[in-house]
Amino acid sequence: MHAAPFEYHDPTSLDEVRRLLDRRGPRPALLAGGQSLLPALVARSSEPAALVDLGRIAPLRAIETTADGELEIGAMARYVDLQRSPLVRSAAPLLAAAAGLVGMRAVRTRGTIGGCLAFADPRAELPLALTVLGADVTVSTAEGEWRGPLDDWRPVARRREGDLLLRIHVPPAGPRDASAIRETAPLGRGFATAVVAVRLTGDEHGAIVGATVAAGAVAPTPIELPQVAAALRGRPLADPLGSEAAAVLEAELSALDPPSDLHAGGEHRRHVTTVLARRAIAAAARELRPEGT
Amino acid sequence: MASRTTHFACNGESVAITVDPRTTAAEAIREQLGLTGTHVACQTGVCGTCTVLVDGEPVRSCLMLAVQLDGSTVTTVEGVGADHADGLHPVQRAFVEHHSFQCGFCAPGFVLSTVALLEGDEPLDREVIRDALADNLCRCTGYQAIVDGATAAAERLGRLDPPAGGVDA
Amino acid sequence: MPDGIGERTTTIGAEIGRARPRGEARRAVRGEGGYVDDHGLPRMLHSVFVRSPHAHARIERIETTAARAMPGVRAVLTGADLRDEIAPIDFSTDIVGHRVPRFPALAEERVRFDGDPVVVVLAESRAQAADAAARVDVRYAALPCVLGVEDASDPSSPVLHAELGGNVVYDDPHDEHVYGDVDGGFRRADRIVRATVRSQRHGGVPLEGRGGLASFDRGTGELRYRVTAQSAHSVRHQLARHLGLDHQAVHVVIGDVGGAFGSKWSISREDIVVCAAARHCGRPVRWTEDRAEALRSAGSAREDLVRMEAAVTAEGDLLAVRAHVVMNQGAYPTAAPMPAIADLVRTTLPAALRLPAFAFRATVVASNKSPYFTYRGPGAVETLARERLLDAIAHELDLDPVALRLRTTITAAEQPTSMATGATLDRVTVRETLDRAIERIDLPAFRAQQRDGWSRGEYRGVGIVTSLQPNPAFADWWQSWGSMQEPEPVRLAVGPDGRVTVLISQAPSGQGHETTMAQICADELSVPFDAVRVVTGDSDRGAFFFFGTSGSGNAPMTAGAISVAARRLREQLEQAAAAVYGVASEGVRLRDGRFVLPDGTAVPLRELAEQVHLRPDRSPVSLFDLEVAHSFRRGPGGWWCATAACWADVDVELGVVRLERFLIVHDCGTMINPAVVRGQLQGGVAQGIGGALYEEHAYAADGRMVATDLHDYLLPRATEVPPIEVVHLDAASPVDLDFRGVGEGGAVIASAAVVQAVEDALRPFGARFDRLPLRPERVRAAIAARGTVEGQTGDEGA
Repeated sequence: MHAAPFEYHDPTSLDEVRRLLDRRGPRPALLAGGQSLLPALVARSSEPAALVDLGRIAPLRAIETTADGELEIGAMARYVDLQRSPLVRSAAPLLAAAAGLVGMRAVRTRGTIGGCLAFADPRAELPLALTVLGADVTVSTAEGEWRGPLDDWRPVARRREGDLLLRIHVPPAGPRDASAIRETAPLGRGFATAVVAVRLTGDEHGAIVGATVAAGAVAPTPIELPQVAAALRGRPLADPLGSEAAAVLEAELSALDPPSDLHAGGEHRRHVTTVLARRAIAAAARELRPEGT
Repeated sequence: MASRTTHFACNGESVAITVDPRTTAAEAIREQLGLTGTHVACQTGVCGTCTVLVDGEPVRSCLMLAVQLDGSTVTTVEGVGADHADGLHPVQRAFVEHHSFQCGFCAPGFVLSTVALLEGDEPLDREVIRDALADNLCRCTGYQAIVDGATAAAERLGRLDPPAGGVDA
Repeated sequence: MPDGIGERTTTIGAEIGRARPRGEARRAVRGEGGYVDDHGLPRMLHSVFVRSPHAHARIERIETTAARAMPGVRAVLTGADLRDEIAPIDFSTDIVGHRVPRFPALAEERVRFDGDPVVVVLAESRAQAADAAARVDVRYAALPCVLGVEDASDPSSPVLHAELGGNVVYDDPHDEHVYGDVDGGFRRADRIVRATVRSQRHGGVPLEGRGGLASFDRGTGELRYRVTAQSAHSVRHQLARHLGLDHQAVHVVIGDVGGAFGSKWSISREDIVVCAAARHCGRPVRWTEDRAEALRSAGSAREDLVRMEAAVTAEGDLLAVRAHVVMNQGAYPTAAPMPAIADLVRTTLPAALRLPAFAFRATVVASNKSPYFTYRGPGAVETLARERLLDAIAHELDLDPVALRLRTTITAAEQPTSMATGATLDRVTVRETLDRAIERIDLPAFRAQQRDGWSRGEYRGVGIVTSLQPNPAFADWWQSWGSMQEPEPVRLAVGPDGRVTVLISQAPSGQGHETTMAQICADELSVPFDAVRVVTGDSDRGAFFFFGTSGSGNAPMTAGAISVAARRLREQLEQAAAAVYGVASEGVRLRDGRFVLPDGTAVPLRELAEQVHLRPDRSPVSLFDLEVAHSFRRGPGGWWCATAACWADVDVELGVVRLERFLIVHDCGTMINPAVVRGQLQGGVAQGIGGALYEEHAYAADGRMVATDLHDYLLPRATEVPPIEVVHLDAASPVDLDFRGVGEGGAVIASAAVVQAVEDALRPFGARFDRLPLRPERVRAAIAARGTVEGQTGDEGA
């Protein structure tokens, strides 16, 4: 319908943001791309007393690589920035691919990686990709800056009051890395019913030497599947999921209790997650196979 | 709460509007600038009837605050045909010729999404166009005529690669 | 003899049959359309409704003090506040067995669905109205709710309207309509085949929600209402009745409408409240509903359960069919009576089948859901049910579904004949559309590819179904339906500048009337297209016509009316010219906007018109001689006939259906504008696809609506709707004024084609479907079960 009233601030420096977050009174909401926050404001499911707009903080938009090749992405980098950036496409193609899966172009021109991580929708693709890529985050807190694994910051219960996500750090892809992300949604696009991301590392003999597999939409946060990953190691790229690894996949997913909603029950969700995992693994393996195999 | 004045360029003119910060860009465009061609239909970014161009890129004006327009260049549907013969941009003309719309409510959003697509440099064919147009909802047409119009506009503007194909209905 | 027909054959002139781009399109693409929310009035107030969050509850207390004190608020009104100003809503009918409650416009002691309007807030701005609405405090005592058709049919279910004593609001008083020897047919049958179809609650959802702008002039006592609606006179009539106003004191204007599809045919309670509020406050009031509101309370349709049994021979001939339909009205009736909708099913289900005996029964139940409205092709379940029944017969008798349809569809040689219900079937070309579709499909080649695909784990299928729609059928169909076809009035007038104004009582929402009706007038009157202006949606300018824009009536009725009126006007104008220019009238011909006189000179119509209007003293004729008013009873009659084919690809692991192609071969008699016809069919098909695969107004077990935004109510996009090929059997009929309606047929026929295509793709699994939509989970479950499956998880509520 219409948003409730709020105080609006558009600071131009991180220090100013910090002051607004640390002052006494109700914690303000942070406005990044607004693609998730605005619907909540308009529906009045969220009624913050104050809004701090991060749009004027230029450093938060930067996408850079450090000396050791690590990708450093500002929290206000948009989905389209991730899709288009040559740095992201070469160092973390999974992230660029995940960004491209977000529903609408017009949403991708405003939505940000930081907003996505903070909103933490279980169905979202970026958090899943970052889990697979083993990303770190740098967060500004009331006590100063903190850097650590995304998985340590992700659970809302573990976040400190007044956290402001600053940067996402992604280790670079190796020369023998391949990744894939697969999802299924009630329409071709929109919130995923199930989504799986995979990263494989192959060797020159056509075998898998490293694997990370994670699923979204089946739990409140992306879930890594370490048993599947372990079962993949040593498997041939030509047939990554033989019957044993496939059985491990089924077993590991059967331990989950995926949610039910209008579009899909928990059991269906689990089943299609299994299917997507198989397809994502096969796709990544195909990419790694020495030519001609 | 305290009003804010926001300055931006809209359809080639400088504007300054004073708004309650909780006003969305769509609301401000419609009610303060009187540009009612931009429509609101879902308030969740799904339908695209509120699409405008901000700094050349399509955005959902219902998911932006008016104050976020500050310093930007905005194009609404009213600004698209301005410098063209008979007030119709080639995209608009193609839509008219191909019977692309029926009730017309979704038309401005499609016009802007298509203009943005054709002004970009992404290689286009009918299927890429159809996929891009999935950004906007239409409840009346079943989309064939819209894809026809957008593809014809792309061809006219030399943006099709390879040349148009598709079902003749 | 239908009036005005038979004396002259329509010349398929420059306009009729021409795919002329629509003049309305220009303002659409330039953003210059005038939808309700684009209009305002000085001192206008914004209104926001406070609605029940409960499916069923008693209202114990409504506290508005805090809301009234909020900034900018001018009034906060409850049902009690408006009791003296709005009569109880009365949509009663004289249909025997139909139970219709009366209820207040704003709910007073009870709310009956999630979204039931309780309070209206009026403030200086929309934001202020929303702020105040959030401060209205209503205390409810929740009551048990009833949702599904089976539950609502149970006499022990919680009763929604105490005055009705139960939730069955219509039970066919004849117990069963029986046509022909049904019992005998079942006795003689080789096999009895049963089928059940359960269509889900969905429908409508135009992009522009409901809304209106009301102003009341205290000086003159007149109400003006600009509204997004389908009939200006229907709205005017209901406003006058419920607000105690003189009919002539109510003026309704309908400008651009952002889609309707039947959802805006009945006046809504909010329309009445907004007008009452304008009168109460002495200021204009505007209402524009938002998406959540629209999904919760604008209404829905298609929640129908059909149980059928067919008596057949071993070869597949039909001896008799029995059908029982149960429809779920929701919590309140609308101005469109549910029994009439059920009777649409009764009178169209037999379609063009060779079916000698038919028995039908309808039941309508009330439940705690939003009201059921006349969604595009309100009886559409008849096509879904019949086609599924045919598929069940084919399955049980091990017959090819297409061959069965060829066998059981009447041919031209058998006509004229009648449906078992008595309705005449003449010039019915369903069989011809089926033949043409089969030609285009190359079924043998598809079957070979299909088998090959199955062996590689690819599942593709094709569904081929037919439909027959009474758009407009013949007079005896309307008798069998139980209603009379409402004659349609039109007025044509030549103005002082020689231009022709066509005043019709339609309110288009994208059907192109401004253009198509001008095409008709231009051809029949023989004036240039650009000399004609069509005026719609104005209760002061169009003559009284309750039906408005609905029932695919524009082509058969409005076009027929304009044709006859234009022919009369042409004669009148020729006579006027003869009188004015002093020549014999037999020698005057109006051609292309000019009078060709016996001596060969040509006088523009404009000249005559100017003289008659500006120098009436010198004119032997009056301006009324340049006008015609005509009430058109009916045209030659005819059915819309079609075959639809749908190609589907199913990802059996994910349960995802992807449609590859859609074909519709149809016969609509003479086409006025082929591009408009194509657009109507393609748009209707897209909605049928939505109904088959994606859309549902879903309720949770506690009766709250689950799908309150477009992330959950799924509308198909350009990537879900495949290329839709439209083939017209013939561009023009040899029968005069044979225009048949195409507005609804696409929506009616598409769902059945999609379902059959999916079943065809999954034949190796024997998957069967009897309920919609075909969500991935349902598809997978049917594959796993290798048969029909009821009640999956993900079906919350009923």
